[in-house]
Amino acid sequence: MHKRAFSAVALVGVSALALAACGSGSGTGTASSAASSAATSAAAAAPTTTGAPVRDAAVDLVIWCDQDRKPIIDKYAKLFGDAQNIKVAVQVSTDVRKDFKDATNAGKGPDVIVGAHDWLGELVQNQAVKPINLSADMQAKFPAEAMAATKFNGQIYGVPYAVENIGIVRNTALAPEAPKTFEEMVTLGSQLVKDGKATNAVLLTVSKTGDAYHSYPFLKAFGGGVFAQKPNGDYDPAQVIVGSAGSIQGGDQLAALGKAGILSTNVDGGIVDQVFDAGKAPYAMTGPWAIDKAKKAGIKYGISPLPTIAGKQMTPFLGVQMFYVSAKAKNDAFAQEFVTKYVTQKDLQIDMYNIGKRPPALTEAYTQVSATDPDIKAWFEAGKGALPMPNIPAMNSVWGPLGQATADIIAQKATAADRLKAAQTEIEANIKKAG
Amino acid sequence: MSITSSAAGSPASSGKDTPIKPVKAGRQRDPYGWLRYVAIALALVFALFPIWFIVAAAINPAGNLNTTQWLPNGLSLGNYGDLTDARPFWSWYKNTLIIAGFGSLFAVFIGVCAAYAFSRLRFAGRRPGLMTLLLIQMFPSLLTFVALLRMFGDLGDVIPQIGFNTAAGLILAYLGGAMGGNVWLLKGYFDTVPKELDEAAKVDGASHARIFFTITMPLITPILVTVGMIQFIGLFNEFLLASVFLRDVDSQTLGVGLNALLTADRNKYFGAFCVGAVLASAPIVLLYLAFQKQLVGGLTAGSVK
Amino acid sequence: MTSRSPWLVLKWVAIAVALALVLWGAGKFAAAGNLPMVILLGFLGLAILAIYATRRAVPMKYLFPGLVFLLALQVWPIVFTLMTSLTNYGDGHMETKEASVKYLVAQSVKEVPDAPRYTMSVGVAQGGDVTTSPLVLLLTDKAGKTYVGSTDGVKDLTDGVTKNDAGKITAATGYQVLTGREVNARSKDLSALAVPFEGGGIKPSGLSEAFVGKASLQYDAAADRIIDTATGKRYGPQHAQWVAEDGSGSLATGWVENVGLRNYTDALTNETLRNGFVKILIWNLIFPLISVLSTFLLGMAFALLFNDDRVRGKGLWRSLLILPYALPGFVTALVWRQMFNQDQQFGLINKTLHLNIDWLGDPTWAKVAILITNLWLGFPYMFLICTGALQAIPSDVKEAAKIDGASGMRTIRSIIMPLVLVAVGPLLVASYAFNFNNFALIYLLTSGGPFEGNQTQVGSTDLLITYAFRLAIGGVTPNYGFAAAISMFIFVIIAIISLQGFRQTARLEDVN
Repeated sequence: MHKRAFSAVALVGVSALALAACGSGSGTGTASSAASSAATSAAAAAPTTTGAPVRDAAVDLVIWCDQDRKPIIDKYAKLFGDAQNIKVAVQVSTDVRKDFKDATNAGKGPDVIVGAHDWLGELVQNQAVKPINLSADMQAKFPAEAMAATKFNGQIYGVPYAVENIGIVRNTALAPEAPKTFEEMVTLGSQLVKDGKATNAVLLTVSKTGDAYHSYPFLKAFGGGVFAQKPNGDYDPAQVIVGSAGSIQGGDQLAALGKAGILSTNVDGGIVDQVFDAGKAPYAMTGPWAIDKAKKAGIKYGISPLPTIAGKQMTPFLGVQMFYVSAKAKNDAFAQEFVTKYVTQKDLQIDMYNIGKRPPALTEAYTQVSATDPDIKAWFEAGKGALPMPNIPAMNSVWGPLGQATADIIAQKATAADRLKAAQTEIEANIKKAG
Repeated sequence: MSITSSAAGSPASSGKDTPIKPVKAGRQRDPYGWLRYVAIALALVFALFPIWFIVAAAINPAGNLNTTQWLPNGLSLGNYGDLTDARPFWSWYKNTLIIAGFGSLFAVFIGVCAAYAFSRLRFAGRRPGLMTLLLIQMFPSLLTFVALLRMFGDLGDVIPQIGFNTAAGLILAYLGGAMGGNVWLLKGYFDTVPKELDEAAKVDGASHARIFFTITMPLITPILVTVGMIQFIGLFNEFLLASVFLRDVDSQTLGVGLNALLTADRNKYFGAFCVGAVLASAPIVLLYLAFQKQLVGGLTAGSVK
Repeated sequence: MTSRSPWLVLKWVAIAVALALVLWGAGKFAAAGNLPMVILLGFLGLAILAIYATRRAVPMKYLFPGLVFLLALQVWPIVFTLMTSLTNYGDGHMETKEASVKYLVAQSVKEVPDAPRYTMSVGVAQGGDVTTSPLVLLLTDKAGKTYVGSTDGVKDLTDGVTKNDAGKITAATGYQVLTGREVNARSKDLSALAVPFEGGGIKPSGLSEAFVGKASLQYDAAADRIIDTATGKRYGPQHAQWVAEDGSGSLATGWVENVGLRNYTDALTNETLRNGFVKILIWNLIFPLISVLSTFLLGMAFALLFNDDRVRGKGLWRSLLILPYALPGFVTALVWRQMFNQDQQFGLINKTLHLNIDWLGDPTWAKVAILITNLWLGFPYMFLICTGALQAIPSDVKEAAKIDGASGMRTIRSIIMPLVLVAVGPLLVASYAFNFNNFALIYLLTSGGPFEGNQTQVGSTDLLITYAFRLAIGGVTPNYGFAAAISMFIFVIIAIISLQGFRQTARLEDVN
């Protein structure tokens, strides 16, 4: 009733905030709750004698993905199924990350999932995914950064199919040239606002609770960021650098932009799209997901890498989309075969590009696509030098405090130094709690 | 419209002395009938104006929400195409109608049975039982979901007919909420139905079951409609449980399908989502409209007998 | 009395069908070896017989179906939460210690650098059972040389070998090559298979490749230590995790264990929880109260307005009025969030009223914004139930009031309201409880914010439930045991408040 209608909403809200899991119940199976686990193991002991669950009855491989990618994966699942003479089911989950974790823990998970690389640490922590083996030759077919994103503790946990990152999307009617510096964007944008041709000089998702993902490039430009890296390139959860000098320098830039009215906590993701698609802003600092709507709105656009700010190059987080194999896959051999042999195919990667419009991870596929699609080349260039988003579980403790800190800085509620140091303390305390 | 005006017409026919000042239904003086309509118009504006922005986003080519602009930037059916071309939207629609329909039907039946016992029968533990019922509803459901997931997982291993990916299993899972607050509402209504009516029947020698089904039930149609609507709306939009149960795209419900649309790629499909949300609200409005006659029937008709 | 027989037949048919279903289910569970469920179903069957086949227990006949569902789907989850609250169940602590050892060791298998890779087929000895007999790996190296690998090691294979274009062995004398489906069916055996080879073991990857791998972690059962053979680090069990003895951190995967009342004592001694508690509790008491009152008054007013027989087309208007309730809360809450945008360019409310209120960024205004939004979201529910309840008031009662000369307002206050409250009074308490835990509204509108004073722990619009969520699940590595313990505390608080509320509404009940 009342409650139900609304509980639907909880999950979306929560996942929109990029939080780790949902309150309405993530994870299943308290192994220690004796009574129930006895029932579970008894039931699991002889499931086949009375017929397996419906969804597995006639299926040899189960893949979970989001709704958008399903048609493409269906196509290759069918090819694989025909080649192996098996039946493959591609199923849609509204929240693959959470559902996979829950279902796998309850022994009801799929064999393969399609998801983002930053879920990895959490999935390893919960014994949900297993490493796959790719030959050195195969690994060399992908950019090193993309492969790095699939690794946890030096092991490869999946095959990437696309990379994504933010860049500068400009309305070429208002800003014909790709900007080289952030200052240039501010100058031109402010002029357009003054002339009444635009309402916002630069669009960046901030919102009242902040957005760490979109603010990160400002911190990174000055050597700040989230975690320091270990010598082998892994992020080190013991070294939080949110309150470092570099981060604070970046924070000062945010503060100045907030003070000048360029950035505002009144601008959230929806508003970025709304204003840009209405042709009322020359620049938006956003990613490939925004392009489809801009096209539909008839905006002529150009994509370029993030500019420099105060002479320092901004770089975004790199996101890698990949196929994982479940650690509890019932059809382990097929799952591994599909992921290592089919996902690495050029055709699949190109088809996935056609849906998501992200640069394919496979270099060969990227080369082909980028020859005809300048957007893809531009996104790829914008991602050059970008570090993968941390995939360690400690990242869960970062999004909230860091996001809020940047929002407070932009809203002039505190100085960058005070606020980022406070965020650092909070993040460290939260990480320790988990330890 | 015709349903309601005829239903409204019959009891009103008694107040025929002064056509300008129709005295009926509580209020004595009503010299400014138009004021009532102004109030109604205001009520409707308050209820509906935010929804207009959802409609506007649905027909806006880019599908963006804009709450300061009453007219969308352009008109397009593109979002509808996004919704129906690659997605089995109408299958979701059908599945939802079936699941919410049966789910609310069973829930109302279970609820009305329990409410009858609580209202008409006297037994030990009646009041504590009622209290407990409501207290249980108050438990913060931070983790209850996990328990359900496990239970139906185990159940489905043995009896696949009610396991995951089945509408039957999902409907069963929904029936947990059948007692809950409904019982209180139904019981409250039962309490207002004069006992003499069923006691008269008891004297005739009718069994309690027969009294219940043939005499009491028809008297409470307004509240059955109300509880049914509340249940139906709840199940119609339910998403959390359904998303765990239904994985195959063609067997999913509107709640699951639309939410999957929303989470597919940031807010790329927000416009299509709005189209779906607006289309999905139609059955609820139509259903309530269809039940208006039953809503005003019930006791009024019963007490006339 | 004759009219009773069809009813009787119907009754017995229903009983028989129910019992048959129970019996069928019990049979299935018996076959699956699940004794507790068989016993449970046995009780269920007996209960059905005892309740419906006899003339006794009349109230139970009506309550039983609801009760079964209530126990299974609402009471059991509460018990489950209670049990969870006594464990450390959460991310990184989901399975047993043994499982964590097995997983960690298996995860540490890495390819030995510069070792050969093979094209692989999987086979069994000729004449062996494809589903049970020991597996062998039929390998082809880069040069095209063929081998057979088993638990005994790797041997050359030459007799009767045929290969396909990819170099994969399709037949070999003395061996039967398995099909993909047969291999897949033995995934478990396959991942357990280790073919000894210099520097490690040959491990299959998928259906057609094999590599030389070596596990870097080893478990020393006697010492109960996990040892990293590459670095020499030793990890010992501590707080349900494998912690390095040299203090350099812990392995990602731990295990679930009972922690007794630790989650409860943690909650009671948690500094952030204590600091925020009073502030949050006060708002948490006020918010549902205002929400219930405002939605009820508006819903009731609308119900009265639209219940008037003189209103033309009221059915249609009524149906349209429930639209805010019919649309998914996600999108309607989003609309309100944007309407409350401070910037007049984006926010309708500030634009229309020519204001510059920071609705969602100011601690007080954010509360107002939440209350307004919840009024809009919640009034249709109250409207629905009040409209339903109003139908219980016979027109002759109203007629009588009219003859008495009661004014419109007085009729409403002294005749209609008490009757309506009989039906909806308890629901107001339920609605209070629902709003007490209205997680979704808060998360969609403000996420608990705005946050004052350089922190993100205690938000100005936080309810206990959103606060608990952030403390135990959202802002940290999820700890469901802790979340469960806090749930129990919240439940106790809301239960005490609700019981008080009941005392009030109890007076309204049983009036007739």
